[in-house]
Amino acid sequence: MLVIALVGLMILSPICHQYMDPYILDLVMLIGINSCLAISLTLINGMAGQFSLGHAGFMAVGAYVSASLTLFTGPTVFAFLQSLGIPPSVCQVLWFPLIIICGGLAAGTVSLLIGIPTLRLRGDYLAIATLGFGEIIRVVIVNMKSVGGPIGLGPIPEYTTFFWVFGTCVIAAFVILRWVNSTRGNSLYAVREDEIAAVSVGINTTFYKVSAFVVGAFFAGAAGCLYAHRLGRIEPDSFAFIRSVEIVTMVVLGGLGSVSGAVLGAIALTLLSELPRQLKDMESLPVVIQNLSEYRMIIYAVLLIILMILRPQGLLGHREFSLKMFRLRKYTREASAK
Amino acid sequence: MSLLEVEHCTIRFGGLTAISDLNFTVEPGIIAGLIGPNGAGKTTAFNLITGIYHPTEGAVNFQGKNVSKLKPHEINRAGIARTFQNIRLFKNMTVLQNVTVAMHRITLASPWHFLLRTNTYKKNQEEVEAEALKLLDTFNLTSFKDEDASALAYGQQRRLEIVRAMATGPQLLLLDEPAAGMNPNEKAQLKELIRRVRNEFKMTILIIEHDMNVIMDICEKIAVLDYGKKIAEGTPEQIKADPKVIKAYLGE
Repeated sequence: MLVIALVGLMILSPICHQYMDPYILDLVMLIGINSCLAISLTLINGMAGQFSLGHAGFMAVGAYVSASLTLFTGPTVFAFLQSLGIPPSVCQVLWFPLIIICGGLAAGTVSLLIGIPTLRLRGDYLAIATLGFGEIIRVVIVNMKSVGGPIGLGPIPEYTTFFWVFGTCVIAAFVILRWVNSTRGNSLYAVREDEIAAVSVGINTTFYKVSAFVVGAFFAGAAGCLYAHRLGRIEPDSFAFIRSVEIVTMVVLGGLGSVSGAVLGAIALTLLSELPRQLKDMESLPVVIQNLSEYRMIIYAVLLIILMILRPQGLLGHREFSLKMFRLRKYTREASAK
Repeated sequence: MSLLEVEHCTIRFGGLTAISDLNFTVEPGIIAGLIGPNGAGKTTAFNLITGIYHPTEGAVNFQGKNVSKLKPHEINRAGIARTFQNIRLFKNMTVLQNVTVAMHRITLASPWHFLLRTNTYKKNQEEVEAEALKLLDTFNLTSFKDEDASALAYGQQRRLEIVRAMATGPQLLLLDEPAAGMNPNEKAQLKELIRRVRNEFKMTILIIEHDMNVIMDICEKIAVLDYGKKIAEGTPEQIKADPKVIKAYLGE
């Protein structure tokens, strides 16, 4: 299945780049990157039940490490490869997956260092601690002259294509779903449901919590890499606390612990934040509507409050999207009617 | 040799001594009971044995090895499993998952196997599920295997918790008030079940229970706790006749 999906994307990608409107394509890729972030966070927050608010930090690590690699060591490597007679386009295809993985590994390593001490905490305390670490990462970057400090890093060559964005997404979803649905991986759910019961049946909860944290951070780092090579410029401010909140909102909106829910949340929130920007130049509309994008955070908040009242478990809840959902609901309705 | 030895264990929480100088042993193959009035420290003793608390003084030996410094999951892997006074099932997981997730000792650990769904993984998963179903069958829970654990009736949840503990493959099974909230009929079934677990699965069982009928009927050896101290130990007949036990329960 994974192979079919990847081959499909490989065929679809050039078609999209050829025929799609650049603005729409950009939006679609942004949705993809956000999906990847949301999928990786739903593993930590939803499946393992460890509420983390530092996801933007891991994304920043991935983005900065991969961008630095491309900018500082990339030219040397490319020159070397070209001297061997390999054309530049092939170099790029070889180089990009490598730095996606490097970005992911860097974020994974950082998360391992952060995770071991902080994952002893529970609930609100964990959220505050991860929030703190996320901000520390950002502040460290601001103070690093070698990566541009507060001004940021750029211009970064724009390697990110439709294929890489959705390829990463598909792999993230594949790895996470296979893991948590395996007999061993079910332990993650057990940790979420009841930690004391989990240890009493021999589950090493620390190991599972840290693993979920590291795998989640790995894909956040990969998404950071895609983000950096799409925009062509990164600055510390784009990885501030508000970014983490955005990702958490996507996950909560879609349903904690559901991969398809995370994708749904990412689509909804990305559209919600991007589309109002289109209204800016439409002078026939009233001023309030023109400036709708200014009120983005208010819209998020209202949306979340409405959702929490009407459907506290999120759009999809714990479950994955499938056609069965509709059938099941019909059965239960018939059963309750009897 | 005793399977479990609690040697001179004391647990203090700040100034409060929950258990003081506790000594008792459990011999392999028996059904042992731990009783005492409310607040006597019975559940604390369980938490001590399963590593949730570590003794301030003293040691817990299991199969001749000191386990008092081990973490709870390591103690479980050493062969001690338990249930809880207030049921702690994985509520949003299915009944079958509740059991298979406890079968760490026979599930495959390598990520490649489940990421690639290799044949080894599939075979292993079938084995695990077959064993889980066998256990569920003993406890008449097979027909609920795909239901969420929270959907079960109270007595069934209690039984499922015992199945889950047994799935970890222990030599010693600790049951914390298994009969709490059950009606007389269910209690009779439970007694039968505990005996079967001992005989068929060759497990040693230690029970905390308030229901004296249950305790006196099935236990071969009983220890009585009061205010964190052991006040009596012996066969059901000896305990029933012990003046100290009568005093602890009924007062002077």
